Amino acid sequence: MTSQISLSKLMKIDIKSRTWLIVLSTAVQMILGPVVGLFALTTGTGDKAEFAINQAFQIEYTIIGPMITIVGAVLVALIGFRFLFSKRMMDLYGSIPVSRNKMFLAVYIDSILIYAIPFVCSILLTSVACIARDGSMASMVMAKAGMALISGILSFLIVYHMCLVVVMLSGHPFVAITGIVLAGVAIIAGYSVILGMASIFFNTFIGWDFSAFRIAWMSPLTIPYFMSAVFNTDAVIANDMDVIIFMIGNIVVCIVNLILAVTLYNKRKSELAEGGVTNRAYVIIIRSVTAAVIGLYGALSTFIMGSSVGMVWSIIGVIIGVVASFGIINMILHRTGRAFFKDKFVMIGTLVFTVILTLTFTVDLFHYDTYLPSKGSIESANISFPDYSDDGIRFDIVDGKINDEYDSRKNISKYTLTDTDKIYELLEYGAECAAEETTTPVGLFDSVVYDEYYTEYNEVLIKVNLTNGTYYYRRYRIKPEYMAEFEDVINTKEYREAAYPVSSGKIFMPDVVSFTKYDNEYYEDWSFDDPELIEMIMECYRRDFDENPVTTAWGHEHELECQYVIYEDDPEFYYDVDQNGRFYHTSYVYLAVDEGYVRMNAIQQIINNMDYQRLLYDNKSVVESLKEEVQAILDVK
Amino acid sequence: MIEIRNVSKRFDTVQALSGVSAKMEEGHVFGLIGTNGAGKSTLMRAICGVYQLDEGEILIDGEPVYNNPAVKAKVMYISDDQYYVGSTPMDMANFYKDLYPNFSMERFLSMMAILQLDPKRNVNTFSKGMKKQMSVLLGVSAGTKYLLCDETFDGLDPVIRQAIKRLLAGEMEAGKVTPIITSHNLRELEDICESVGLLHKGGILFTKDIEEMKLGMYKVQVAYDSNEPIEKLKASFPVMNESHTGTLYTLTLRGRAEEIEKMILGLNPRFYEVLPLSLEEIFIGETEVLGYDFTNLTE
Repeated sequence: MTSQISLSKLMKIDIKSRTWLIVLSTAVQMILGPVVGLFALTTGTGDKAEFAINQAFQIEYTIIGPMITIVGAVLVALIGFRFLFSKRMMDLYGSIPVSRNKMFLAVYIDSILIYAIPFVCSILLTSVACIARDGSMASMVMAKAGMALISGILSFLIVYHMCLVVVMLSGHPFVAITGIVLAGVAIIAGYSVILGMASIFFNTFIGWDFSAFRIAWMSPLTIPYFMSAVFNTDAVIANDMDVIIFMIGNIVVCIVNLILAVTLYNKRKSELAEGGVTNRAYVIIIRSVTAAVIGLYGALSTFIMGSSVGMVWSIIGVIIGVVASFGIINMILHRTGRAFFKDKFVMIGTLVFTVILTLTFTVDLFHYDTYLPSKGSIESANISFPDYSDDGIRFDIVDGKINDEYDSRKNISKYTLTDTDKIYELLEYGAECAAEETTTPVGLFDSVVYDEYYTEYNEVLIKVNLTNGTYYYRRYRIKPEYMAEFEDVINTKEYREAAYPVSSGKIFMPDVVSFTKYDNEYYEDWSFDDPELIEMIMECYRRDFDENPVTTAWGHEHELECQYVIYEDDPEFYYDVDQNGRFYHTSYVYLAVDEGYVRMNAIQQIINNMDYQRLLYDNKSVVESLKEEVQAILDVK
Repeated sequence: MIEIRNVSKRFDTVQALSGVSAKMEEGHVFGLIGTNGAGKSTLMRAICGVYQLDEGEILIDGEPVYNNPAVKAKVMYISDDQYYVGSTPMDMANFYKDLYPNFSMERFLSMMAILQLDPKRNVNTFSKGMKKQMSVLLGVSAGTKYLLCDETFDGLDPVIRQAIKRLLAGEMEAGKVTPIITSHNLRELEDICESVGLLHKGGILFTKDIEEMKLGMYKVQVAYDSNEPIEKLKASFPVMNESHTGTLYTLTLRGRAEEIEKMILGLNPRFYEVLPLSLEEIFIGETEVLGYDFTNLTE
């Protein structure tokens, strides 16, 4: 049986009932799009057209654009399907001769159009304004506009579909909003606290780089911010596989959410209008997951307070966190204070689950942190010693250039060990450390443990390749004396070149080098940008480095600061512009100058003895005399 | 015809409808009466396809109504607390015009003019009675085969009530619409309905023609010299209600009028009178039998 009314007519009826929302959407997007864009194009942008265009589109790429997307998606979902929350409206909309599918489709499409049409118009008008300012930049403008459109619409759909699922599961707008916020926040908070606890309590994750960027990709409520960041720097998409995977994952979740929303809508009973919490699954997601996450935060907070009896305190923290948040969410969802102790058994279940989860981290309940594969199953291991690498800072080298996006796991290929006995020995030692230190979290702000960690331990990152083709990572802290057994690893040419790319001369020369001049109690930095001088100094350093064993990347008496200017093809508004109009930012590498570094110590001595006034006012002659003196040092075999 | 077959509907712990069956013939005004919370509005919502049933089925002209737009197009539902799309009666009329192909805007506007309702006035400024009037006019103008009016007469003044009744009667006589009406004002239903269904605690007690119903139940006032004849009378006919002041008994008896009168006369009364019952008295009698009696509230 088909409906008597066409979809377009039904959409027209629906849209007529939401004219105020259309006006609001248009007004907000036009003001914050083309109006602000025009303002940016005409004021304070200098002569650079690229800058001006970036400024004109910045609403789409900074905090305001994504915020409009989130609020817009929540509003259109809630207001479009508001009839599900009102008995009076349900009587009307449920009795009119329209099939449920067609009703859903009409409201669904209308809601998208209410957001998307003003959004597209806003981008087009901004583009027209940008092209009118500088027609030669049309291709850049079109690229910006295209990226903004994809980012905006995709973000909107991801948030919108999540909101639809929550709306279909709830029976009151307040409950729905609470659900949207809790679902979004609980995902971020849950992901963060679990990763946080893993990095604090598990030796395996000590010092792991848990990027906020990746955490935020987990929640539909924060995705618009990161989507806009990703689409604003297309290089990130091109280079970072994780981002592509997360994006595809989010698109899949977005589609699944839509299917879920349609299914829930078709199965939804009309009497659920004004029913508040209407679905058991919804209650579990919103209440139990949120309570468990808050319970974990409670455990973490009280663990810190508890000091020596931290584990007991962590359990108390879980109890307080779970019971309080469970009860408060109950009161919000049911809109009565009496609901605090509703569903006691579910509360107890959530509590037990959260306690088990807490103990998993605090006492390594499931022995994850101390797990050892059998010796026979180990094929090889990639090893990295974070304290014995990277020339003193954490960065990646991509195509011979410094990349600020550091991921410690990418540096794991510095050295491959095939001696399974040695691998097993190291793993065994690490597991022992982990077993001893499980309840002494090094990641917390406990100064004693923190200091002890940096003075008594070194880290080793191992990727264990198993004979069955799988692999896993372990990251342990081990004592310095144990490092002696690995000196033959650390000082191999292969490891040194991979771990110390600047020191070993594997990447291009720095643009500026700086020495610290020690003058009694005064410290002054002196920088030189003469390419010939820099090349000579770096050659001195390379020779010193070749002749000495490597030392840890921290705690040296002297350091040579190397400054690298990194040019960017895709400018962002916070980049600097040089005199040739190129966009750039600066990265720093600090090279250790230890006792055996005779050439570098000799140069340092020259700097220390140099006349202060001469350094200050006659830099050119200082450079020339330094060149002569450094050349003399180089000439000594 | 609307056929309700063994319909059940539950809301969490409340069994709103339980095995309800009834038939509502075309061209008859059907009144749905019942105690508070009996499930009248639930049944109305089920008939117009708002509620999905747990058990049973509702057929309109032989077809199920739930999620069936073609069948729903034959039914117009005026709820007791109507939601209005837009801000004016005109907005609402336009809404229905798009949805119901037979909606007559001309008719709606002419009837609005007769009742002196401004179609461009904000609905929020209308009184409750004016809103009800507007709802009925919208319902009649929709041109549907069945018109479900949930407590539509409540809140109308006597003049308007009569006018609306005449309007519905006229529409029905012209074969345009079959109204199904719920109301607590049984006096109103008595005037307009040809048959009624009585609901109590989610179950339908009966559906009967009103005249037939009245013929089967009488109020008797009778006085005898002793109690013995009264007991005999009570033993001979089902007693729906009973009260007495001294030796004067008032009984509501179920049975044929001639037989009741013959029995009373055979027992030599000092005084007697047999009166037909109003719909309200029938309602009270029928529900009291089921324990729906709160006379002890004032004791």
